[in-house]
Amino acid sequence: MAKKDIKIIVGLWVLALILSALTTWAYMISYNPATATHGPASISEPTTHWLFQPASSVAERVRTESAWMVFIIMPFLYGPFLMLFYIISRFSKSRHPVADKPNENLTLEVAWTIVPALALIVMAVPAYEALRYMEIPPARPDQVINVTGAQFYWQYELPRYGLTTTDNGTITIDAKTGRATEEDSWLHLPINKTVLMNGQSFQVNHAWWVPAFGVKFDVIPGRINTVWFDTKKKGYFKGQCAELCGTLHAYMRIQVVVEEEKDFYEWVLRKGGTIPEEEEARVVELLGADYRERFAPKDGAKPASLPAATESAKSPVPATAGATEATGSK
Amino acid sequence: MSIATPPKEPQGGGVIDLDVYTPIEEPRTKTTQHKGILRWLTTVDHKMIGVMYLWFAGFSVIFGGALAGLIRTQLAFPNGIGGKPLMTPEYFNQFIGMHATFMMFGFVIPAFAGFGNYVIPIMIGARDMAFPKMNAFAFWILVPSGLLMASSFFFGSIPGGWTSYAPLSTKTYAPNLGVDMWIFAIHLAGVSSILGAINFIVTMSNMRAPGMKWFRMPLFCWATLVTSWLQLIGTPVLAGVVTMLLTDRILDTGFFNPAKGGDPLLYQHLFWFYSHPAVYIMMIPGFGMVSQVIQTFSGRPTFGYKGMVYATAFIGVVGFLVWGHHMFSAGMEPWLRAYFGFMTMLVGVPTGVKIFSWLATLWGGSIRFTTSMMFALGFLGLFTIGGISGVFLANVPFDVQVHDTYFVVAHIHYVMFGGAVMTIFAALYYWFPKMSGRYLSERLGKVIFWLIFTGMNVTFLPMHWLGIAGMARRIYTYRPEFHSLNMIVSSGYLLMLTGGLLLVGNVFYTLLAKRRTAPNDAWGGNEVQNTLEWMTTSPPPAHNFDRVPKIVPMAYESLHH
Repeated sequence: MAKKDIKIIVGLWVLALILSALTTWAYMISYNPATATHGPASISEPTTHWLFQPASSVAERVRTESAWMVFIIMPFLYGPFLMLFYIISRFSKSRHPVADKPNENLTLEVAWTIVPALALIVMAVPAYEALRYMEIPPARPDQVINVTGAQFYWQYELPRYGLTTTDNGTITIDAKTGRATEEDSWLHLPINKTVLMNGQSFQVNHAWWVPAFGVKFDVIPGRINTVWFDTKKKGYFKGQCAELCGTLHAYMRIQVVVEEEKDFYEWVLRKGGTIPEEEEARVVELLGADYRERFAPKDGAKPASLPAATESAKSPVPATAGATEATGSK
Repeated sequence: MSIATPPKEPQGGGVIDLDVYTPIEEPRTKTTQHKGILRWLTTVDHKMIGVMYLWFAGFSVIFGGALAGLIRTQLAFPNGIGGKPLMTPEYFNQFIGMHATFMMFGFVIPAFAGFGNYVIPIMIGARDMAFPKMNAFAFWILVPSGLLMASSFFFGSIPGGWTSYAPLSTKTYAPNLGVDMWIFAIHLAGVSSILGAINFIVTMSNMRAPGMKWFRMPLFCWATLVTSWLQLIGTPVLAGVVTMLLTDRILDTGFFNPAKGGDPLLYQHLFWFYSHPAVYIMMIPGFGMVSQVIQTFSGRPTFGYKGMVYATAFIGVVGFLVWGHHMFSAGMEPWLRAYFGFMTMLVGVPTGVKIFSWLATLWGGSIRFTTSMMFALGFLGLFTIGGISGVFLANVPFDVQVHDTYFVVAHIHYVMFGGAVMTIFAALYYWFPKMSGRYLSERLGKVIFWLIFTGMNVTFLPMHWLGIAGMARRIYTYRPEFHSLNMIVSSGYLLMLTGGLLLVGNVFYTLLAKRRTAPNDAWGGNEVQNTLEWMTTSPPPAHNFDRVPKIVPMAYESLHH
């Protein structure tokens, strides 16, 4: 290989590194945690996600860590592409009628084995730090939520308040906005709290996924999976069941409302939850001493029971005109 | 039969020593005793079986492609047209499962088996496979498998995608006969796969021509050898897990039922123990074929031949140690997540070696942009994208975000379509003159390439963004914010469909209307890569070579030793 060729190859790879740095820079400036403090203001707004609108420190951690990955990995995308374009333009039969003699270069081969391996190890370090961060939940989470996946709805239990969200298995989806209109199936959470979620299922596998929280975990019969996140932004966050669970899988959506503590307690009381003694003082401070009378549960707000595990999963097909009605296994 | 006298120049010296050969042998196969259709039904000739594999793959890809069209139509109009839904979610779920099953078990694996069957015995200088009758059996058992799979549509087929995770695929949630039919179809395809693998391994171990040392085998032979080992080790596990599913369904054994002491996660572990290596089964032969194509049309032998062989073998070994990366969100020991993530990143290293070796082969070459070469170069670009998104997915926290979303759909299609399917098209244009004696149209071929290449990117590139933005995979309908991107994705399908139909037309027109004009060395320049299939007639006689070739060292071979 001529000296000129080596210069060109080095040049192409330097260009790849520069492009990679530019990509990483664009990635990093695309989100500024200082300015982006609010989540979606209404449930009609589009789904937000961990990459540009992270709403929990887990999601932010993944985002920050991914920038490093982009910087390390993208040269291996740009490099071969630049090489390929250069080769196509220079070494076509018309421009380079006689092929060079076969050659071999052991040093080169060793280099292109070792360098990517080292790059991957360098990339792995922050990845494992982020993994560790995800995997170790806080010792004393502010809220514990038990979520149950069923065909085809989510049910949330807040054991501290003796509260279970009511869901009669009916999914009502507004065809225009694509949002579930049943407010009963929404999960409310207070802002700036850590949340521990235990997931279970009695029928088939589901996955609870809210992209803005950076959280996805399968709920599988026979085991309880656990995940944690915190609520850093107020707003309406949307998610979707992410594990094929049957005919109405696509309709098995998730709505989470992150709101002020005051609004959260109001929701708990309206749902028929009871306030434990240790939180009594805080609730009185927020809602006033007469909160029991002022926020009496609405009619019909009582815990729903789960379907038996053996029940058949037959369900009718939803009509898609206008508001969609679909009935789960009940 | 004539064999061109190799030039005496050291550059690209002869592989075949014409002065040393064994006497003519009687052809061992009796392929010519019947005429017409009976000849095809009774043949044990590896070339005819190879061609039949390719026809099977062709029918499967048309079927699987049509299913993809149905999927994309539904996703272009998620709320139906004029308020009327296009299909029920039941059908949609069957379509996604069957699309995957047909594309993998019906198209990619049989296509590789077809090219391997046709080319490998010739490449190593053998007259046939080691077990010709077993070879025919392996093909003919695939036919009922395909028919069973297709007809399972009439019985509800599989409601849970091609992975058919328990408990969704157990009797309680999928009581239809279609799942049982699918299981039996997988069994038959598995038997075919195992028998084919044994045949390839024995053929390459025992039937290489005199002088054809291990490290003189063309890279496609190495690729198929590694693949065969993967099939031999992995397929029984798949057969085992679907059998457990079958007994769960029929005998209520409860392997995957927690109420009876079973575990649904066990299904996922066993399933992916096969199905991850299956990804390499569907990729590595493509690497081998692309190596052959790039050598021929760049006029340079592969740079770092031995490095390529070791990289292929390394991918094969590590392929068995990474299955857990399909289950990062399913719940497993923390250290296991770390382990599977690390091993998955490790796969990137030998894959990188291969890409760099191809680039180094091309560098300094004299490249002829035939359709075959364009598909090979297209593969190189698209597979690089698929490989890079694969490394992203090996990063566990990132993977948890995009697991089971359209990002993963984009990744597998860049690897499987941009990778495997592009190599199959490259190999089709490359070996078609050898198989039929006729050239596929180069002019039309380039149109087909650009249609498929553009359509492929229009279809699958936006999917990366859809996945990150929050669209889960395998959903029948979605939130309105994803609609515009889905329309782009579906329009890309139309480009690919046009390309695919033109390709089908090209094949039939060439077979029916063109004359046999291809010389032995159909693409010229075989003095560079020196593989034996270009030293016999196009198409080759039933016994491949009149004389068993004896292989002498290539002039540049000292470079490898």
